[in-house]
Amino acid sequence: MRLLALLAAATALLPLVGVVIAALSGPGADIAARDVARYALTSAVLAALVALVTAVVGSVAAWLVVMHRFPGRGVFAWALALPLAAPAFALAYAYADLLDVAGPLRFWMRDALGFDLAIQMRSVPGAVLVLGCAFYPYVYLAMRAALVNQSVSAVEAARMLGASPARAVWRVAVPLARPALAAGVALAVMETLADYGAVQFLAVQTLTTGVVRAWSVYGSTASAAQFALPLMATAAVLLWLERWGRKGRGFETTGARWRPLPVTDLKGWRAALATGFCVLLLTVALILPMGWLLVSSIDVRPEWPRLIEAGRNTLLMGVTGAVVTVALATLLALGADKLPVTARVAGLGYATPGAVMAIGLLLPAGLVWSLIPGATTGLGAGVILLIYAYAARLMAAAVEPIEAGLAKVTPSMVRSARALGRSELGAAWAVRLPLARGALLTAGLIVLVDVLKELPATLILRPFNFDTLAVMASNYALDERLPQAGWPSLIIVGLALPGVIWLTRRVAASRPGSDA
Amino acid sequence: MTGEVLTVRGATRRYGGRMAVEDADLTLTPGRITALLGPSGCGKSTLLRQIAGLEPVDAGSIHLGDRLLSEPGRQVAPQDRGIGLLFQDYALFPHLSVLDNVTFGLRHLPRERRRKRALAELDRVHLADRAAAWPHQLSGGEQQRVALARALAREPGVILLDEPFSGLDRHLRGEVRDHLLTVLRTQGAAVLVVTHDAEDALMMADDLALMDGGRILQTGTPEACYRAPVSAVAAELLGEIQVLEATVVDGVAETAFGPVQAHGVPEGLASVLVRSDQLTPAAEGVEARVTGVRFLGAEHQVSVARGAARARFRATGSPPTVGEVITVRLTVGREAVLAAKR
Repeated sequence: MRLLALLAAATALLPLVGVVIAALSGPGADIAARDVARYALTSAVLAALVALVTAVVGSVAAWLVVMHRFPGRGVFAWALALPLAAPAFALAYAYADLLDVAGPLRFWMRDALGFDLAIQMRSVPGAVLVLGCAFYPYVYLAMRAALVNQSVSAVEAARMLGASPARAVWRVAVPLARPALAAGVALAVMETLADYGAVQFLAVQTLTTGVVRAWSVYGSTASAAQFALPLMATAAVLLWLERWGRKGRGFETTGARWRPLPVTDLKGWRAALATGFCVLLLTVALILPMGWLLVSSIDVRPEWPRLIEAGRNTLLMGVTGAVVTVALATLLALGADKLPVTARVAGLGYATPGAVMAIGLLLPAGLVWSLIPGATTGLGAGVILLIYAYAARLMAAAVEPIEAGLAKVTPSMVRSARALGRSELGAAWAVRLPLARGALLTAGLIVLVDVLKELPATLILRPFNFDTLAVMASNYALDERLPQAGWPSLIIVGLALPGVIWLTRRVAASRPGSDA
Repeated sequence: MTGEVLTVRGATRRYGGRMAVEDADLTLTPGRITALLGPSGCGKSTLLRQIAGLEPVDAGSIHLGDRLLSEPGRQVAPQDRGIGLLFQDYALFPHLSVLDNVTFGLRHLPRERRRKRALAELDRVHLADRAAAWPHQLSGGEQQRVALARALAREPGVILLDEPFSGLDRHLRGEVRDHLLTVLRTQGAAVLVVTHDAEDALMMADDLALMDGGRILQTGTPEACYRAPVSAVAAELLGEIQVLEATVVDGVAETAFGPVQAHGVPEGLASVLVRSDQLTPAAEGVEARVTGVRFLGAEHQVSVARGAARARFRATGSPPTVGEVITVRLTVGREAVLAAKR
């Protein structure tokens, strides 16, 4: 068991080692250190701004939904997480078109309001808008979980100790929610740094676009790896931050008694404001951009054969990726109680952008291909490499629900299975896994949704002529054929949406003690 | 501190159609410990939260001395009541050190005094050396002592304790209870302890209030409540009770195990409430057959039958054997006889 877990962890670690070796393997192409610094600065500014936006928007949304009652609250509780189904690049396409000087929104404004809003989407602020919309759900979900699980008595205790309601919130409720906020923002920043499709389309040069460009334009693995190194370092820091937030330094409440949260009834204009905020957020982050993509695509005839093939490829990669990743993650989770360090190593893979992961795989893959001549020619080799990249990157995301599911199996259940004559593996198979069935499905869906939206690693590693929906959308968009790019984007949303709905409803406001 | 009497009059709380607290009267006296005893879900915690100001009253009122604390539609905020509350889960602030937890409520003092006061309070609960620790580094019993120090530091005139022993190991309870009593006694405040455990209630209380189904069934000293329960339900709260059927004739209740004085009880059917120490083997009495004997350590539980009637009692010394016929006598008085409800 321990050996298998170690093996699974090594899977995640291998590409990272690959990056370091590639970066050290010599001077890259004509990309100066100056460029790396410039791209890093853009990445940092972008990450900071997205962190700010997602922190505010996600926290306010969670606070409204958990602590207040207003029209639509029940729907917003899970609907506000739905933008997770939309890939960031799709939002970028839609907004670039919508807010173009000649676009419909600006046109209408000039016409109806008599003034023009000079928004340049192809800029850092534009990217902040798009990525903020795409990634605020991470903060929203983390904060919602924290607020739902908060100890009511801590706030009440503050009141009993003479604190006014405002002081009780400021001195007790806010500090208690801070770790969750840090965890949510860390995830949003990880995704921001990993994003390729949106920033590339919006002509914002980040480290991740640098990685892809160094590889695709200059053909230099070494310089791509040099762009990747600061990303990896940042990822490690973010991962630490996220873990710190989750562990909460013993912030879990001590007692076991739960009373219903004191929910404030909002009336009149306050209720309208709350509902308005949620509607606006959902409109800006999902309905408006996806609606616009739909409207602008509806007139063009989609290229069905290509679309169907790409859809088939996407589903193939998604399902295979999910199965392989969940299998590896399960091994990791089963061994994690014996070897906790393995899960942490896998976490590093999750924090690492897909583009970096892909670059890291090129070197070891090259070694293998050179040993087995003829292997490169097959379609299978590239697909296997791609699945490997997905698994290495998403294993940690899958481990988490599986670990939580396995934690529900008490040690005594496993011990009694052992006492009844099962081996360690046998007990895992007969008792632990069946009981964690729901968690395995959750993990699989998380991987599936992520793979559907994945772009940079697929771009780098895919076999020749092997298109996924995301790659197809990206290619159309680069050719400025936005209406055509709408179709694959919308199909991705359509495929991911049921999964996201299922996932968010599953974690929906269940409070310990109230029977999840 | 000179305490004031806290008076609850007709406090009521409805949740939808359900009455959580119904027309409850309660008086808390400075220097005395009142235990509010009832099964879980009987409304005792709701009543405590009403006194704390965390829950409104739908009817009735709560006063501290002459000062109105709660009435329907109007209530003094929890932070302005001068009432201390020890939460069941202690509710320590996990992001503050032990010392900062205790100083939290001392904002009115200058910084240095605050620290001194908190340390003195921690010293009183023997935790001065853990002032720099974090709450999660403490054991359950230590956490409770910090919570107590935190509540007492403000020198509240009224202290409320919500199930103070529910989170503790059985064998720790006695020790914690004694310590808690000592600390509370020196404070001189009016104390309310809410509990579902009869032993805790009896051990701590100067005054006892029995609660069930949202209503306060009986108040009085622990002895009075134990010996003269107002109903079988009230009696059951304080420990195992046996109900013997009886018929009252001429001021005497005749049971299967002998007569009980019942002066003034209406003639006819009645119940006699008997605790397991109130039926004893005696030289004179009625004959009963022993149907079972169980070893309980210091004593034995003996089951006896007389015709169709059955009863149990606790016997010290060498027990009778099963099948043996022994003489037993009821040692209850008038207060144990309840007329049947019509």
